[in-house]
Amino acid sequence: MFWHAFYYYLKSILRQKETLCWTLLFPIALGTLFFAAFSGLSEDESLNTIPVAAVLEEEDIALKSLLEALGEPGEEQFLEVTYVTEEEALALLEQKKIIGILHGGKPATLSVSAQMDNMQMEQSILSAIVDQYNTIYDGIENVAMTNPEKVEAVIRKLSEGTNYNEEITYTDGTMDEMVSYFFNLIAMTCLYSSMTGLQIAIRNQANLSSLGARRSLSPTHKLISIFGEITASCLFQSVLVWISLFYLNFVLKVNFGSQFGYMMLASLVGCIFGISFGFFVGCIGKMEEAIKLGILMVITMFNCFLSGLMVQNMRIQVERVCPWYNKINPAALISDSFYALSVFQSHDRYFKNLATLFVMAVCLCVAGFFIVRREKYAAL
Amino acid sequence: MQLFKAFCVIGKRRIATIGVYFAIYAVITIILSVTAKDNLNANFQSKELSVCVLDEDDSMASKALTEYIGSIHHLVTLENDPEVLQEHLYYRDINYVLTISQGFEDKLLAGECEGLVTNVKVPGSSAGYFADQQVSQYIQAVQLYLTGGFSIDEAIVKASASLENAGNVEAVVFEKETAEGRKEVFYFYQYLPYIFILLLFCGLAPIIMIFQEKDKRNRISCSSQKLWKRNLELAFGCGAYSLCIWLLFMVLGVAVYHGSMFTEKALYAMLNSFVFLLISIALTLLLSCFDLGVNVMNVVNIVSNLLGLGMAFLGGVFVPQNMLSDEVLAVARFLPTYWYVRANNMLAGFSTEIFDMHLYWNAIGIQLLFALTAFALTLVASKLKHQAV
Amino acid sequence: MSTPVIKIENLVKRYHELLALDHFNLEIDEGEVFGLLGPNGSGKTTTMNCILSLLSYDKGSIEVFGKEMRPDSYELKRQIGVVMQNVAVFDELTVYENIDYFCGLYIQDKALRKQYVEEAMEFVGLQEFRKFFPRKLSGGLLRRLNIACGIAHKPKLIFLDEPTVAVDPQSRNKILEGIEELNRKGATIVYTSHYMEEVEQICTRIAIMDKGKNLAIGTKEELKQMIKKSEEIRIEMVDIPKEYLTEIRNIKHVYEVCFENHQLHVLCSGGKHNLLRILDYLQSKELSFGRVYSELPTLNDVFLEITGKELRD
Repeated sequence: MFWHAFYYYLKSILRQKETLCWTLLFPIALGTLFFAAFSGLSEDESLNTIPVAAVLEEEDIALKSLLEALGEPGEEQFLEVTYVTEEEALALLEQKKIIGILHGGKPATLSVSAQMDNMQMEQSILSAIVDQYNTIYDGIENVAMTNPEKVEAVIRKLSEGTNYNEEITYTDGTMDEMVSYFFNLIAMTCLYSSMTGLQIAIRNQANLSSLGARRSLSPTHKLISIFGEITASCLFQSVLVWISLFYLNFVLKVNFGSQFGYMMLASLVGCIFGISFGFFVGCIGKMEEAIKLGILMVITMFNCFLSGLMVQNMRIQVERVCPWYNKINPAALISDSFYALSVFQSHDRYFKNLATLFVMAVCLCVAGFFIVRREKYAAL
Repeated sequence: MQLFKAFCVIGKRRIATIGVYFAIYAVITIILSVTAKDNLNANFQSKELSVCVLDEDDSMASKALTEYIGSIHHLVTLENDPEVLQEHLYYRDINYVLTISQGFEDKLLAGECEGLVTNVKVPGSSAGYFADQQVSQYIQAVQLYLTGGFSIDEAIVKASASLENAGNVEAVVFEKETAEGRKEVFYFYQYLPYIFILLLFCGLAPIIMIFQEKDKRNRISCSSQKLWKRNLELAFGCGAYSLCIWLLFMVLGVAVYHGSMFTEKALYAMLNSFVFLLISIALTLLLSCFDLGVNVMNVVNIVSNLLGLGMAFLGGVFVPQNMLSDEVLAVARFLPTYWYVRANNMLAGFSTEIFDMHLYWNAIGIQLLFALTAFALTLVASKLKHQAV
Repeated sequence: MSTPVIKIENLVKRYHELLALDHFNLEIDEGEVFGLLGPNGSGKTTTMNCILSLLSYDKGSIEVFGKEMRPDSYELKRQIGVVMQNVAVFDELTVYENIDYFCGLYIQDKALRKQYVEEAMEFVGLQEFRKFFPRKLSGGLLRRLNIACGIAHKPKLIFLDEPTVAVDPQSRNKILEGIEELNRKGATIVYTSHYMEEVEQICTRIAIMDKGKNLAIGTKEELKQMIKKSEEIRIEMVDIPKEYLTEIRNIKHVYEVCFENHQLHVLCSGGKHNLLRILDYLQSKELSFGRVYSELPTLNDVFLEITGKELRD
């Protein structure tokens, strides 16, 4: 009976061509779009030349030579310097043609526009340049006053360009932040399998469909045939997600890390949860299928949103405001499992997430079964 | 006006489904716009980070460095265990870990300064790089004085004094903030394209499809009403529905942002959103011309997110336009979301473009062109379908 | 006396304020083709769903094959086949696959099931359509598929709920013939409909229902004898004087006479040769007449007399 239901349900969903097509197309197309959208992003770290205006007096020789060095045309050009008066500089700043105004003097100062708070990276870099200039100027001046013979040694030391602060990582996993969008995309695809779970519930309830009525009249225990159908759809949905995963990892070469087998397992558990959730929602009440589907979709989208699908650090915000939600949000659990695989050496967190998902799935399934096994209805 | 009446009746019956979608997306919009400041300005530099300093040297120099870091950032004490530290980094309890290895002061005195300290930071965080800069600057200052012949104590004192004035930047204000209203209003408008596409596809498309069902379409065709009149009535129905959605969102905006919704620039943004609504309607009508198989609602949900998220990401709704590569932007120019976001960014001052009426009306015009094209395609598809019977 | 296949006692079912079944009683014996006749909303489908344990009921008892019918009476369910009013098949499976699927819910043995499925397809005449999908079938063929899915496992008790709605005459005949064949092979049939012609054609015993009550039960003849009218005679005439109408009224067994639209309408109650007597009378008065119709009462007449309503309102 189980295999009978399994076989025919699998056949049935494989023939729903539009659903099959779109369910497969969705993550592949969206993944490709993400990939295209993010492909230029890492270049943001290496910055373009920063336009500045410099308002200098005659005495600002040191500052001028520094600016000339930084502004030298070529591949390494750091700044694009315009030497103007104060009024001209303010005008340029108001028109957003420059990031900041460097004022000469002791110490040198920087002015930026309060209306350009999206350029804080560039503003901070300018600030750092000014600070460093001031510090070094101060230092050399101090040394020149007390130990003038050491000035040369100091300058030599400064020009060595020592790297005092070395960056290390605790893990050799991926550090690419944008990959979390892909994690969330996979999570969303897994959760979309709830549509199939809903379909199973509707087809098996006599008060929701004629097919359900016919099913209820058969001597096969409803739970056996439902279980067969759920298993078939878990397999089907997982395969679709695996295909997308394969595409993202091997064709687009998104850096998911190297543990593909574990990722497949995470997707499988994600799909199991999705289907169970859809099944559970399908079993509650006598609402129309359209409303139930609407509920499924908005809950899924809301969870994906809170997990950071649209805006990356939404998850962090949730962690600050109500951290417990991240522990039960299925989208967060799935994407976190992927993250854990790529960042951590041990699989503790990964298995913890998967266990939580699986337990929730089982509870939802059992709850659904419990509702559905009532086979007599007050009205059909 | 039979078709229009029928449309309204069906719409009323489906109010529960539509209401569910609306509620959730309204909540999402509010959350997005409230938290957006952090998100849109992805390179936002928080002045103060949470830093964990692991002092393995325990010397005067290392303590001075720790004290300096503590004066500009917030110090957090954690045990020296990579797993623990990684965990805290992951959850952003700390943004930066600085390890001062044993022999720091000795090496500093000896002049062997390569890789004196190591750091671990939250990946891709520009705030982290900023902290790098500050650490290096301090060490460099101390070394400068050491090389200049000062003792370690004097070097520390002088370095600290020198760096006291660091980071003093004057922020010039060009426009009066009070008249400007809250900038968050524009964050509210930023995400509306995605929301509109979702709400119209999932809420409106199913209703239109009911009228497009073969049998019903044929039955309606048999009536004496002309095709253009039928289409007009359907269009009225769609227009009424969409207008309701738009108005509801405007009311939501007013409820959250009050008067800021009515400043000059905010009103331009409102018009911008209305134009995008027209595009969404057009796309919805185009979608409903296609045969989506048996599980119509399933496919509609998938397509709406595919189109909605795709256009949103490429157009710069979620990821700022100035962060997208030139190639992506070149493609994005063919999407209406690009123009919508560009106009909104300009109004809000999010981009480097200052407000230019010419550019604004340009963006509006292009969006209207998109809408007209989609409407035209819909008429063609509808006629073809009609003939294919 | 063998145990009745179905025994319903004092069944009461309410949908909120509406009393759907009002102390309904019924007994169906083995081998019968039992018809449940009644207008829309009389409670036929409700009765069926209660018997099948799909609907809960408020009072009364239902026994099938001598045992109480419950949702988990799997052994009983194995012997029951149902053809529902709404076509309940899978759009994504072919004709063959649909029948195989539903048969498989009852018959586990693959070889036996294959045989049953082939026989079912032959029975409903869908062999040439075995690879067709339901959306490609006409209304009649779809109904035939619906039937095949319900009876493929060769059940002993078959419920058919309005199986000929929206069906072409050819399919309808085939369906009715098929039902008779099933009955010949030993199945007990419960047939609900509001088409009296079908019920009259195939049912051995009929219950007339209205408003949840069992109004009358018996064979066709028994039911028709319940009512006054036993014959309805219509004779086309140009005209007839009023005093003749009165005289006709006094003829034996005649209880109602009227003349309108050039037709003489005579209702007789009981007796034989009523037509002959009336025609004799007309000839004796040298009245000429045209066509003559004599009709025996229909179940509609039975229903009309009992309830004052037509079967199809």
